Amino acid sequence: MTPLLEGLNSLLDISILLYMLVGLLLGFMVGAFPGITATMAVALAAGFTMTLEPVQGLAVLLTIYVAANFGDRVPSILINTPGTPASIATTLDGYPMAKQGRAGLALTMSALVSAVGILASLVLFALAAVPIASFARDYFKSPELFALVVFGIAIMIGISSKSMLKGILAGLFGLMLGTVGTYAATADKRFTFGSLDLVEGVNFIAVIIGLFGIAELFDQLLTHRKSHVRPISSLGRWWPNRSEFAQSGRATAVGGAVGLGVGLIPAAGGDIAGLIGWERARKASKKQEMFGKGSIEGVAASDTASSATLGGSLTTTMALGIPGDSVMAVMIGSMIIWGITPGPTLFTDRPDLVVSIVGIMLVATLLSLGLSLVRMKGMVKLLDVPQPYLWSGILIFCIIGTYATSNSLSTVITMLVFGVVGVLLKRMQVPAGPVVLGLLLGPLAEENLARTLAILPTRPFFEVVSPIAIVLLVLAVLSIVMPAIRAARKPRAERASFADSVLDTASITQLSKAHDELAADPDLLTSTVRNPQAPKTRRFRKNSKENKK
Amino acid sequence: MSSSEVADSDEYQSATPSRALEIAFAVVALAVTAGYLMLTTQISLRREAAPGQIDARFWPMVLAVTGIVVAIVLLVIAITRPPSGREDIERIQPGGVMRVAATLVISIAFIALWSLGSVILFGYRIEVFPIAAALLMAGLMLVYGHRRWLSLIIYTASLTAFIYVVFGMLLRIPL
Repeated sequence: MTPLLEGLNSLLDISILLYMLVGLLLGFMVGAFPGITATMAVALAAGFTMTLEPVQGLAVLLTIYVAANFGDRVPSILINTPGTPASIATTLDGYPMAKQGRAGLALTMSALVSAVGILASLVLFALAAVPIASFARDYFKSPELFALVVFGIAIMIGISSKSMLKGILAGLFGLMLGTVGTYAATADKRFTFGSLDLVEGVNFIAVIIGLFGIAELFDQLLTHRKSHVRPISSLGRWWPNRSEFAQSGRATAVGGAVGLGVGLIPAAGGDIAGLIGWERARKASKKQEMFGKGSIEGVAASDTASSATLGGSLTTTMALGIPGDSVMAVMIGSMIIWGITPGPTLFTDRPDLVVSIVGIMLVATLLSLGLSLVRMKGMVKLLDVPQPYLWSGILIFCIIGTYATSNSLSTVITMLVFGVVGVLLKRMQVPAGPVVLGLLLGPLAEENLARTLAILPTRPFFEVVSPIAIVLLVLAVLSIVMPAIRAARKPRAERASFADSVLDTASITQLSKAHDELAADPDLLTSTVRNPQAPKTRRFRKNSKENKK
Repeated sequence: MSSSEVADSDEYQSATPSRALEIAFAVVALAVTAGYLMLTTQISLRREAAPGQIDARFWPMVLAVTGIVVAIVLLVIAITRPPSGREDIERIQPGGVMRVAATLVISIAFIALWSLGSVILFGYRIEVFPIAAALLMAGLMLVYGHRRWLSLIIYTASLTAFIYVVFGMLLRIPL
């Protein structure tokens, strides 16, 4: 049987559809709840899917990945809070649209262009994944593989950290965790402290759920305030008219191109792509001045861009073993448990997987689009679920999910420990991505470094270390040094938040102007139930910097 | 990127930069990496590595030394430069630390109870997990400020039953 038929055949199982439905509901919900990210959901689901067949497990995890990408737009548009980081840019124009009573339109447009973005990126995955993997398989020997791992961790550090030094420390911490257990080459035991649980290394599902699940939960417990924000409930017209479609065409194309490109950069996800896509579309637009004030083009551009990263992320993850974004970092962990290691040899060993993955993503996208269009009204109610239900639910599922991986309570304790470590790291602005990546890829790096060092004395240097390895190492250095230099050149006040660090000064000025104009307009809808007592009791820092923002 | 509309209590509140915290972090990082280095030197090798091969200590040593260098640089920066902004981190709210501490204590108590497995009481063998899980849920809901008794009992009982049936019975996880 050809791989195509084999891949399709494995999808023709009713259980796959059921797993996808579970993933769809779960993904949509986690997307819609601000504070539960797709990474957290996939980490949690990893605990429960490890006993499944790889294709079944992929059906759950990939569908969560896709559906969360649709669900997270809802709170961005209705309460100005991104459901997951990937929809940060949607708030720029989506929320102003909702304030003008055009929320329905924004939601529909967002769902449509998200589907377009994902489908376009799937074509990229289908076309590029196998050639990239074969290239890597043929030309990547130990030195190149070592360089590739270093590059992957470096770019994750460069993208996810504000302070490069803290990012490097995070990566090193992960690599150090990766050294716990038995050293494969000589069977020496390292850092096991006589514990049998540690002989096979640190349980990475426990680490992942701790760092992405429990740590997020603890951070919410720390920072939660009573919110007066209620979703905007007057949604207005749903379906865009012809001129609105025509208007959004160019923005969608620009956003899609940005998203496809950004997606192929390892570790760069939808959040960055969305912001860059929005900015590029603004520059290319005929109605530049409308951006930030509820432009449908702005919604189209940011959502196409952030959704179009999915295929690219999948490509680098599956073909090179270097995660395209943080969800994919977690996914690699699950795949290793199923006995399929993403990397250059994956598609040689399992050519049918490309077809299965494309099939799952395709169906998941269409299902999510359908669910998005059927009715968002129910979703609005979902945003009102009281936090205590959410928190206690997340905690117990994290505990059971971790326990399920090993049937041992020590794993649950490991998870809680990493939850505490994770929240401390988060408060110190140390990113969790490089830690997980270091833990997952560390053994691979060590093994390939060992082989390289073993061959090195026997042959001339440049015969062993090819130009590919050197280029990768140079890129690794650049991906840490460049952001540091760029940050150092920006005035301190301008490198405040994440969005500010991605967007250029003109965009930031336009946004704050638009924001002020909208705030000054009394006729607009508002999502805030103002409490007349609030100004007296509020605790707000009268800091000059804060007010300047 | 936020506006001047700060009077709103729903507005995002970021954490304050703190030099003391940055220094403390750098010191902890230094201590951890130094501790790791010490442990690395104590890894017992079963046999010497062959010429050209790297032994079990080599890679951890590389990581430890790099880590120490980075931690020292971080410490120097923390002492000499103004603390970095924390605009992307939300401010800790009053009661937040208590909530986390209580959650941890309740979770640990839950794990301790759960580790009993089953107890024999009045001649009956009773599974501890469902009881412990229900107590965990109820405890957490109370800590998080939920005060309506009826919904507390219904939610706790139904979620516990759901978990026990789905994971314990259907997925056969030995809870």
